[in-house]
Amino acid sequence: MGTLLGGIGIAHTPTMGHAFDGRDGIPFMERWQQWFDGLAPVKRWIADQAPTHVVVIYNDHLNYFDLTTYPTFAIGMSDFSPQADEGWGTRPFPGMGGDTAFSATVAESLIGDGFDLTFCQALEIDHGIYSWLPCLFDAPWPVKFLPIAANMVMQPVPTPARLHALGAAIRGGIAETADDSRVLFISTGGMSHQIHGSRFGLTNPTFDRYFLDKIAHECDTLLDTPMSWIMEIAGTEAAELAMWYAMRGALSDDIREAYSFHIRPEITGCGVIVLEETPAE
Amino acid sequence: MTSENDTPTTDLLAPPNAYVFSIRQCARAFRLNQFAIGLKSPQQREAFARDERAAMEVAGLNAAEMEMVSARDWTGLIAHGGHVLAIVKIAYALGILHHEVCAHMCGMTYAELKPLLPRESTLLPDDSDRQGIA
Repeated sequence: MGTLLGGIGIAHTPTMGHAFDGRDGIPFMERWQQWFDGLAPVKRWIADQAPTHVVVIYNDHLNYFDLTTYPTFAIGMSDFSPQADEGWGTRPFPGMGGDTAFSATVAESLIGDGFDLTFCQALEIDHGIYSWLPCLFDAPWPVKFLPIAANMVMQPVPTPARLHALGAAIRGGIAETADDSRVLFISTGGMSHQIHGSRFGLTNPTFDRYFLDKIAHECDTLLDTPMSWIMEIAGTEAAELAMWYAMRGALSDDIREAYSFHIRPEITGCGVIVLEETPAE
Repeated sequence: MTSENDTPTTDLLAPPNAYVFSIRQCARAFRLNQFAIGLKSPQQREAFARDERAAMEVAGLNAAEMEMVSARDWTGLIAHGGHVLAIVKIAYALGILHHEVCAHMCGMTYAELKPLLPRESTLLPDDSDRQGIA
């Protein structure tokens, strides 16, 4: 059976990618550099763990899916997922390789457990993954990816409880993969931000740190908090934090927080947490 | 407070503070949103740059929608049912920043908005007092 090594929750935002690439005119570069420096220990932890596969729960931002057909959950089944052009061209990084046998095993397990995901053979991946990907891995990417997209574009979006349960079901699917699979589970979204309306630019670093404190061992407290209230106090797009519940749901209770970091570089709270499985010998 | 799957209707999540896009609005500005999303394609961006009106007519936008695009009325486009992630692609195609689009929604210029950013709330989930939210 495949081994789940641990989970990572991490924020994403287009500006993170632009700042990483050193594009001209990015404000607050000094704070972005602090974020990149803050991710260095995560990159080292990943390298130490030597994963072969990475399951990523993310959300597309109308860059692959459009409004003609919008899947609540979609799973990338192919051996290659290119980077999406979001309207400003692509960044100088390769597409993401996949492992079709691994993906099929997980997908079959999920459908068997009642999670009816939409199968995708030509996903294109946007900043939901690409904004942090080069911070955690060096290209060419040394792992195979299994991307799973959750609808965060149009209400009703999947509930926190459903995302938590999806993570638990993915854990079951990972267990059915090949013995030599060493799997890392990454959820990405948030943290506090609102990118439209008259509250544009709203952040809540206090809430972000509270969320980072609770996710490992008091996740039920977060799950019991209505997402509409989180959207009020931390910005509408903080709703993406629900995807972190999938990462936590995939992990056992035998975990330790290997690392966490938070900063607000500009108008999006940027946080990361690394939760490592510590199975009893 | 609404249940978490309802379109939120509290003061802070009601327009103009927030426009929460739901399946209930999706049909209303469908062509406008699809046109905007199409601008992720470099060819569509070039066609739009060459002749804005013609590109919008091909996409089937109505007169009011074309007028709002021409006027760069970002607030109107969102209020009409535009999805912010779609509408900003029109802005990108015109070399206009997301922040400038949102400054319009805040009723000010980007130069006026910039020093106010980031806005900050310090509320936690068990705080019932809403004061402190911008």
